[in-house]
Amino acid sequence: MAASMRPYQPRSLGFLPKRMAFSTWVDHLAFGYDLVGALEPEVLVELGTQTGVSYFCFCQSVVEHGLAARCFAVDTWRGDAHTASYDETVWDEVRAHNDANYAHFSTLRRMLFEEALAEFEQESIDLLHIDGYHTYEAVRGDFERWYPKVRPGGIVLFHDIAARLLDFGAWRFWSELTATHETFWFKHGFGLGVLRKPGSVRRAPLLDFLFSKDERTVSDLRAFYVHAAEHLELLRKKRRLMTARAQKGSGH
Amino acid sequence: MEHLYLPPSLRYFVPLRVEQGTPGAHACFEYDLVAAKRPETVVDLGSGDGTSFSVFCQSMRDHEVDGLAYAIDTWANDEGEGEATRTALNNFLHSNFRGFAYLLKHSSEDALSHFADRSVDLLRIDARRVDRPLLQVLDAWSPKLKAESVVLCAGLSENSDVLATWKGRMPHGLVLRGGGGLGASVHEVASMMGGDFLPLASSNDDADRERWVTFYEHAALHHALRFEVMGHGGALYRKRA
Repeated sequence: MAASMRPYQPRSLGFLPKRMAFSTWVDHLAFGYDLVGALEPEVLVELGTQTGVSYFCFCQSVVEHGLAARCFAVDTWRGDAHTASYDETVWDEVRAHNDANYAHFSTLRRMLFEEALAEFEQESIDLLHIDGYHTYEAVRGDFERWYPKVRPGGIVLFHDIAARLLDFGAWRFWSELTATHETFWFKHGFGLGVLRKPGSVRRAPLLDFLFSKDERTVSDLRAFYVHAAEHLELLRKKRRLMTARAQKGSGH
Repeated sequence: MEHLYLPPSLRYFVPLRVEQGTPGAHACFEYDLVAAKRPETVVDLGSGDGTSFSVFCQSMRDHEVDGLAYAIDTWANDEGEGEATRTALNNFLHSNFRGFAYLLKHSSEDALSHFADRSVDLLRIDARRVDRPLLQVLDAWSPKLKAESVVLCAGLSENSDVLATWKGRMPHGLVLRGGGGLGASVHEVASMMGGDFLPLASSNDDADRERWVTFYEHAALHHALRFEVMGHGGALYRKRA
């Protein structure tokens, strides 16, 4: 018999997000959920939260993996030229969801990213998600200001690195980063870049796959999370169908 | 160790034949098994409506396996519907898998003489449909199996005697849940690798086996969801009359 070998079957395959809103991040929920479980961050920071689809996925994972993390969402919740401005209901919903589910470890900081910088010590953040304004200059600025705050071995996520629209430039900055850093990227869901800061690294199957030098592993991981995204979508659609049937059955 | 495993059944498999209102509970396992083993000779004893047999054939076609597949059944015990079932399956095979898929209207015993010793790479037995006790069928067909061939047995969990017989005779391998249960085991493991289908080659202990079983439960759920959520529009799945 061969050496013991088990299929990778992460917990995201059975997870349903509590917080849903329209977001192109929806295709990365399974990965975001598993990444938190694998990395076990002590400090997690998201720059650009808007409706909270990604941020509350991280928070839900913290709870469901039984982790002792502190999480921070930084946003003005007033929108920018890419999201367009939105009214206060987005902030009200996000705050209500946070208060109801995660207030004991999650803090919403309603301010500019630069204003929040001083609240974090150097090399203190285990997981940083950069999803603010998407021009080349903005993404580069966010990274350069916040990277010193990331702990060695910590991970930085960049959303929309495959998006080619308006004056988005995340893709161009990402292509520069890949030349100089340890990186992996997903092509689906408008692209999600994963960058690891050098230093002592945590061992976990997902982290080993992410930063494997083996091309087959890299392409298999991409395919796996496309599958996981589809599975989550099917579970959500099934839930909607059942809700619709129940409402129809009860005469609504 | 954990292995990143995303088999063909979860990459591109869309079952052509969906007879029971949902894809077969073990269709993913059967599809991946054929993709990995690339059998030259497949024998399916107790094919019934051909749900499993059609998966074998589809995987052979999709993966360009240059083999032959035989569906064997008397189609005698189906409340008068046996002949219609056989005809429908025959038409389906003719339309989709022409040239390598055959129906043999025989009992498992009568079919023996049509196969040479050590010639079968994949043998499936549906314990609910064969006319002899499982142990007799296994004993009778054992000489026909090649080394490292794979034996599947459907209907294991519907009868505790059948399950006990299977486990006594085939202590290694997996027993998948759902769909009446499916036993899967490698006959005469010759090499250290134990064959080329990872779920059967690497199942060393109960914990490993459980992980493979739950993985294929996930795969079955995924296809059932696709069928339920997307199938009604007919875009992905089509139910054949």
